[in-house]
Amino acid sequence: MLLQAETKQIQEQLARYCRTGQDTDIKGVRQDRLSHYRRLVYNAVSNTLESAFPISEEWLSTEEWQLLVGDFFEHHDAQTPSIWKLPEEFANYIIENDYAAQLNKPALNDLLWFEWLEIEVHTMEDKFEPEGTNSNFSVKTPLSINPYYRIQQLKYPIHMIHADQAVKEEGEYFVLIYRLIESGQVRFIQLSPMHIFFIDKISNQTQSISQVLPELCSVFGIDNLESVKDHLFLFCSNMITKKILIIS
Amino acid sequence: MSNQIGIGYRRDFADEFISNNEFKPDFIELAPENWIGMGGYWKKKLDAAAERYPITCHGLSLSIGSPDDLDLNFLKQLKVFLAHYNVKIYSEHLSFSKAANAHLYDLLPIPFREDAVKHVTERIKFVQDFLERPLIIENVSYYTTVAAEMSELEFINQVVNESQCQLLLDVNNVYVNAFNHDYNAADFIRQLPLDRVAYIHMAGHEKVAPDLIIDTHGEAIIDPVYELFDYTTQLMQAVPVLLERDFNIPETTELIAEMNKLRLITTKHWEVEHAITG
Repeated sequence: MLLQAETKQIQEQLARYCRTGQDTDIKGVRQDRLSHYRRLVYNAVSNTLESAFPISEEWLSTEEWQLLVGDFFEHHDAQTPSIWKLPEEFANYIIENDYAAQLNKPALNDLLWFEWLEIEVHTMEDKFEPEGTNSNFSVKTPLSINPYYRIQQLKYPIHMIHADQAVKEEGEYFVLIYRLIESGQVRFIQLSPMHIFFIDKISNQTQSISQVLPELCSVFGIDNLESVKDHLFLFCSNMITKKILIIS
Repeated sequence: MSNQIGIGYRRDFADEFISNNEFKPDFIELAPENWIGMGGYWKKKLDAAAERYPITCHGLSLSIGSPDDLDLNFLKQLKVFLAHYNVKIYSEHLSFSKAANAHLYDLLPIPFREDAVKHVTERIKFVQDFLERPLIIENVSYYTTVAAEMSELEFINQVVNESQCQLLLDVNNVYVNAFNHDYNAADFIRQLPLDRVAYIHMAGHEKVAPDLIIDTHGEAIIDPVYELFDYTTQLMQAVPVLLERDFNIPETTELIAEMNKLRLITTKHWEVEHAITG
């Protein structure tokens, strides 16, 4: 590298000051101007996170939110060149460092990750979109899935009720977050583990209800295939209406 | 694209680019980092705009002056993106935005030093070779020098001369820096390698203290910056000119008026005078 060690050290010192507010004794700077760099860098990160997590930000107190943003800003080395992807790093940082326990906000992890997944699905790169047909739907109709979705397992139903209430309803919730192909809008729907199993099978390979049914019943220990078949027919009809499943 | 007036493409007024027939920039500029890897709703909007306007790209995170290594994975994605949108002009800032393995998402001043000139020059050449296209480098606004051993003017001139890169002349940045660091903006511009200027940026700013202006891109261009632009255009050949407006977005009619004002100046110096002298 052609950069001298001293110049490198000065640049790193300036960057460190921007993130920590410490170590202001930087060679050849105007001290009265230095704070503007810290303010500008902090605001870029803070504004991005506020936009990405509006529900979390409103739920937490100002002090709690600023603690999360401030700690992330100071201690996390941002890796993405695209600032709009930084919220994913933020959610991971908060979850990995267990701020939910520190703040006594058990639903924090679920809420942050849910808000990030809404962004992720909304901005997910365009993929091959299975071409649908208008043929009649039956249990033998091959089904594909809209490629723009994520499944999140939640401990608290933050997708339905306020996070403070959700902590009283601890359980196992599965939510499918998906993007409408035509409008690009994001929706979500709560599903059962059996539905998730079915969606997972369809996502791997175009299949009909009849093809998935035996394995599904085996996994979930169900003897009455006919009742499950009827149930899945109604479920899939609904999913087709919502444009999550596509008749292939 | 010489003597054309463009504007920064922003989501805030993305529909205007598609549906407002009064709003007709000659080209649009976007930051590739804001679009690489994005699909869905906003990608569709961008693609619709891209069908109507040529696109130039102005990067944010290349961090050409960084002490960290260049991000080759990012460069690969960038190369694909620039090709996909048939981008003819790709520019970046003469600054750094990454250090100690962390992005900072703002433009920090490179120390004006000999070793930094060599370092930046080597990286500009590498990026140009990698992308197989010119990298146009912009003079940035800065609020303090950092461990400087030469002037800003010497630094820019040396980088351009040694790398043989082209220059994006941000006239507002010159105005801001001249105010903040107490030098003459016109003298500064006259001493730049104007034959290397391939692109111009114009923008508004905010005065936050009696002795300090911050380059916000959140206000209309003020008259003294138009005057500096008028002066600059007389010294050089026609190049594309971009209006930057990133925050505090006004009514589209105000943006149109700003672009018209820029066009009046460029037409006066780059078309009328050439027609007379030609």
